[in-house]
Amino acid sequence: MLLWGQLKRGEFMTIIPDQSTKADAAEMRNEEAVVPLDDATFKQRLAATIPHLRAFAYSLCGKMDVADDLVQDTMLKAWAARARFRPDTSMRAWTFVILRNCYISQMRRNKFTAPYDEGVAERTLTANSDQQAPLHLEDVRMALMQLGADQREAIILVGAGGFSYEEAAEICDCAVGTMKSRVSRARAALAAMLDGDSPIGTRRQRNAADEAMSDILGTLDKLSEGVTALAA
Amino acid sequence: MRTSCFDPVVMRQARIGRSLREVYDGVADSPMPDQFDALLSELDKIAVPERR
Repeated sequence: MLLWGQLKRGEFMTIIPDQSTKADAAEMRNEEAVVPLDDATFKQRLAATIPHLRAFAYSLCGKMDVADDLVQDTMLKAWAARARFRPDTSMRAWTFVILRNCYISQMRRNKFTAPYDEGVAERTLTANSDQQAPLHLEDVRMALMQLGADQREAIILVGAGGFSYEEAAEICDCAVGTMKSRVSRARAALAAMLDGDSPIGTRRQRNAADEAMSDILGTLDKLSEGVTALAA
Repeated sequence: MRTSCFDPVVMRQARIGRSLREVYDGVADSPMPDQFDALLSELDKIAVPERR
């Protein structure tokens, strides 16, 4: 009997069911009808996903060189498994599943270390006191890295990658409700971090205050120069 | 009761969403290292396909 857990994964990968029921046999006939992509087309579609894979990998590990290695591993695995790709499904979603699995495997081998660097944060955080102004991207990147891995991948897939909750749940192998909850909590956490309820937000506000004070002192310096010149 | 559609919470979430997409696009649109072109041209040789 085909398990629903297997079926769920079958959205992206071809499952070969057993033939214990008529429904399963019918499904098998449908799958047989799917003509696999030829190698050239597969390669072309794989190449088109590279930018997205890099962005997703970077959001997972926070380091561009590590992300590129992860994408390279993903491409090799995808190529080796190309016979299992269903052309009527999303290549991007399929490769994201592979990339995520590569990342988890490497995490288990402790290849990745803490992605958030407090020193870098201190050096790169910039002031932006205007709540309506665009956020500084470095702040957003760092806030992202502060999130838990589950929330981070959820918000990237749905909030930036353009996946639906259903697709993101398939990629992360979780329930749609869980995905919605993760995205919601990630949004709230990011808002708190970027708008002052956390160390990043507090620093942003403090930097804004420091910058305002520097402006005032600078203006005073200029004024005093003028007064000194007049006195002379 | 709020009458404006410019709910600050919604505006803030939209701003964060926009920034997230910028972070994502910033990486996606960045120049691709040469290693990927090389890999694509070598794929046939590198990976042994589990083929049909």
